[in-house]
Amino acid sequence: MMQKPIHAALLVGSPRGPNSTSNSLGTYLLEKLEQQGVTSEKVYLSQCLGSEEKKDAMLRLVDESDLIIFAFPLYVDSLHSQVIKTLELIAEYEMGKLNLDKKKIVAISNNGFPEAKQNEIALAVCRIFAKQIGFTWAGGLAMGGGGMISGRPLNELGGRVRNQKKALEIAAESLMNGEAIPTEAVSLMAKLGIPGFLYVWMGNRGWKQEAKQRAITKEMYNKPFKA
Amino acid sequence: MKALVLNGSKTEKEEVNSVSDYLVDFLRTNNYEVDVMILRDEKIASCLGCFGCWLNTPGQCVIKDAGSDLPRKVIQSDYVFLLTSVTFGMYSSELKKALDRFPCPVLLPFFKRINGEIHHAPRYDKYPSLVAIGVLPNPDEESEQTFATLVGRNGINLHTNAISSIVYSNDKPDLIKEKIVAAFSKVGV
Repeated sequence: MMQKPIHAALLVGSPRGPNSTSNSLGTYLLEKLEQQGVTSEKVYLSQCLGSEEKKDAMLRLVDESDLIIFAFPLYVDSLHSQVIKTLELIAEYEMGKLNLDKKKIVAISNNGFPEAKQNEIALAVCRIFAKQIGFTWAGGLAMGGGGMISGRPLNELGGRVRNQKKALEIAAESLMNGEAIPTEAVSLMAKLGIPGFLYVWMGNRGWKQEAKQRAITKEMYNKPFKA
Repeated sequence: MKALVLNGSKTEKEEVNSVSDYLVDFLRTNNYEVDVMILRDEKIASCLGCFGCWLNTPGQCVIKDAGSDLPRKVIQSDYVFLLTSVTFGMYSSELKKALDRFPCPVLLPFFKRINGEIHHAPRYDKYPSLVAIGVLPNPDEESEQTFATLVGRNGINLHTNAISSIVYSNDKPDLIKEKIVAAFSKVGV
């Protein structure tokens, strides 16, 4: 049994910052926690790593929080460089301190492919990070089909994200009960609101339309560096 | 044959640098044309996730720095070597910063089903083989397994074969060289 969280830090690891799906998902979880009395702060890693002052503030925020939520997109099968850089910095800052197990780590990963399971390595990296530093791993949530959210608030998206909203609500409830994120939330988070084949068809059609609008239908296939 | 070596060490003292030296020596002895990038010495910005390499300048990154040349270097190589300290089961931030900059430009935005999973379709007909060598202070099954899976998945996404190998910090030079040759032979040299 973990302790009920008091102060949560949301670290948004998308280079798109406030306009990202990672922000949409992390913010929804944060709101559910706030409704149950948790205080919280949110930072965008793309901004934090830009200056020493903001970087130090982010590290202090992590130090002062007992629930740390990482929300990020899958990048080349794992974490974006800014997220792994943040993990390296936190490790350096926190390693060896007392009572590190009181800090709970949660990760939310999303990707643009329809399969949530492609996020498995990214979540494993966060779990290994927590274990190596001595933090408590409170669980990870993964979703595919991030393109359906595209940085919009979940409450504006209707039924297509009902599974993800429910998953985040269950996760918040479990964390408030001092429990890790349950399997039910993990399964719901992974469940696409539309059939996978339809998501793929819509994605391909979307890129073709975008190319047509920009008059780059042929150029899109350019091979500028052919060997 | 051309080889691109991406050295993702964060400091001069890391064992990754010795691995890089042994590897480069081996490659040059075997008449490879070798391009070594010590990434901590290069100015490479983080990927912005802007899709400019798909929509604005197809096939080329819109950020102009040492990272914008990575797609060309990768595509014109026969082998790409990723050298890194294994960091929580994955690559160091230095290596990942470079790695984030080339898959999108060398792939198309369109989806393609590969072995039952969706990935991005290839832009080019041929991609270099990937060999990743990770350095760990001690054996660590969970980190090693995660690292191997990650490298394998990078291979799927980059439409190529990919091999990983683990070197321990206290491995003797001869053993490190043996591991390099073994990884090399597995990738089909």
